[in-house]
Amino acid sequence: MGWWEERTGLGAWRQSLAARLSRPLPARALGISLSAVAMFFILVQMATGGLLAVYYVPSWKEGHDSVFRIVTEIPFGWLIRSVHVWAAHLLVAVAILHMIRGFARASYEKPREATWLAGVALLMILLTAAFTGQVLPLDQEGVNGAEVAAAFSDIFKLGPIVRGGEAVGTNTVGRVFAVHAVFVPLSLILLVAAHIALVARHRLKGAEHVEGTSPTYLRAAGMSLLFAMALLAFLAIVFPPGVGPRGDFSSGDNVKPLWVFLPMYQALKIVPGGMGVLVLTLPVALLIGIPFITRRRTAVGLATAAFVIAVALGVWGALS
Amino acid sequence: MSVLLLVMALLAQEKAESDDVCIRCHQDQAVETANSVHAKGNIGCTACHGTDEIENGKHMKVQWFRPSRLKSIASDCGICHLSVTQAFEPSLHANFAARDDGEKNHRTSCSACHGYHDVVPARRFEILKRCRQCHEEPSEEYTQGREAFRGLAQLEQDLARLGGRLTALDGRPGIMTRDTSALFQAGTGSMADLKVAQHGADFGRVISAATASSESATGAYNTLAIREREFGRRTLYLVPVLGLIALMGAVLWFRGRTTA
Repeated sequence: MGWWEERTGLGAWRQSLAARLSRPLPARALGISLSAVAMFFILVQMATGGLLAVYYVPSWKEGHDSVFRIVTEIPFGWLIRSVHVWAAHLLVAVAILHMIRGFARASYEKPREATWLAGVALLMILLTAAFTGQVLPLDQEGVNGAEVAAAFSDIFKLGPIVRGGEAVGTNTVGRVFAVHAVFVPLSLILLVAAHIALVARHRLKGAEHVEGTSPTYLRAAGMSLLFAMALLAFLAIVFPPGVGPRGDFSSGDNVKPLWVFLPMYQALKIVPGGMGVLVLTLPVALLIGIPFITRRRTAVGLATAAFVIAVALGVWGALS
Repeated sequence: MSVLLLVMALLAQEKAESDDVCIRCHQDQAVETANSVHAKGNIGCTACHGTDEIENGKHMKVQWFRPSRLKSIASDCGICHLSVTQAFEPSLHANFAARDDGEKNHRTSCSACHGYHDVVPARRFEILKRCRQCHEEPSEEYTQGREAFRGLAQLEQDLARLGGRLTALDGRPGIMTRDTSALFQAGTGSMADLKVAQHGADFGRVISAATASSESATGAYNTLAIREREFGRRTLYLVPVLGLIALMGAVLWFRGRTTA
């Protein structure tokens, strides 16, 4: 201990971290532990994603085959991919819950606007990760996703840059892979660091001056984490996802996107083209604008309306 | 006037390139071919008999035209079914057919099993009936032939079973299918080859090849079943994983209580 301590100072750092984490929290520590669960899923994604990258081939020709091989041939490849897929679903869900909770407790109010904005940026990165991750297997959903992304970028005359040429192909897959496996994790690390540093700076809302020792964050977070692990293990082992047949350009009109994109999918069916893209920027603008709406009732009204519309569109999209 | 005569002569002269022209005179044959596989595949009279010019209902035999004779049927069929006739060529059956010595038992060309105008794919039991016309039931030739047809039927069944399983498992996680898929492809290829090779009546070879392919297909099917069963046991992993998590939870819960 002495040798390492002298050189790294890890023990002192650990003590200060433990003291920081054991600070008294507002009454509902379980809700706050959503952030720890989200962090856990992010780490799971990085670990399993790294393992998947060992065998994934980012190529239009071989991409689908390589995923097929991971899922059917590589020992425990099915498990690694299953954990990656299920943790992705859970991560997006937990991030949304975490955000709803932050909004409900008005945690975005002065002086925590930057914390909220970092959170919004994190959500955008997670959605990017989910979208690009769905493209990579190049099954029908993947090919459709790539086409939709390319069609959107056409509206801003950026189609050739996204496709990496005239048509969706290997260059597109390379771009999607680079975003999914390099830019997304890098952005996550930076944004999570910023998000946590900001929380540490301002302390959690309502706990700035709280005295006492119970309940501690470590215990609530520990229980939540164990529950998240158990849920992930159960889903990943019992319901491993397979790979659909290779996608093509002609036959994919009825393929639906990931559940989190269903509201957008339905919105674009109602308002197609450039107008639709404009409509899609509204919820993002609202999320960014929330900390700057001074009247709480206005913020609650707008956010509730947006949420109800999104859920309604999502359900409509799922059923149509 | 002479121009008019020429036009009339041209009108009277027809070219038999479509069945409509043939059927005007050969109605019996039209009835015979109606249910044949050739009719279903839109293959008409001229595919086998060639084309001709007809004048006043008579063949002028100026074009490529052939009334098929028993002797030459195999080569007519070979226009499309070349690999089959090549396999058939060295057989004793082909030898008899080529002689066409009027002996009824020597009419052993393609039409003996597949019909003449009413061309059908040869079915096992119908062929065996034909075989019995010349070969006694317990004879070596008959038994060999029967076993070959049985082997091929068995192979077809085994391949269908394997193929069905492979389709069901396509893209399913945790079950390797590449090796068994390759065996299925090989089996399908061998089946196609044997279906051609059996026309050479070298039934010993057909039997052994069909049996080998059958065994390979059955082995692949069993391998898949074992893999499926093994993968089905994966939920057992949950026991140590959830057990460990529960243990950690218990420790956290009770330690938390005592320190609180």
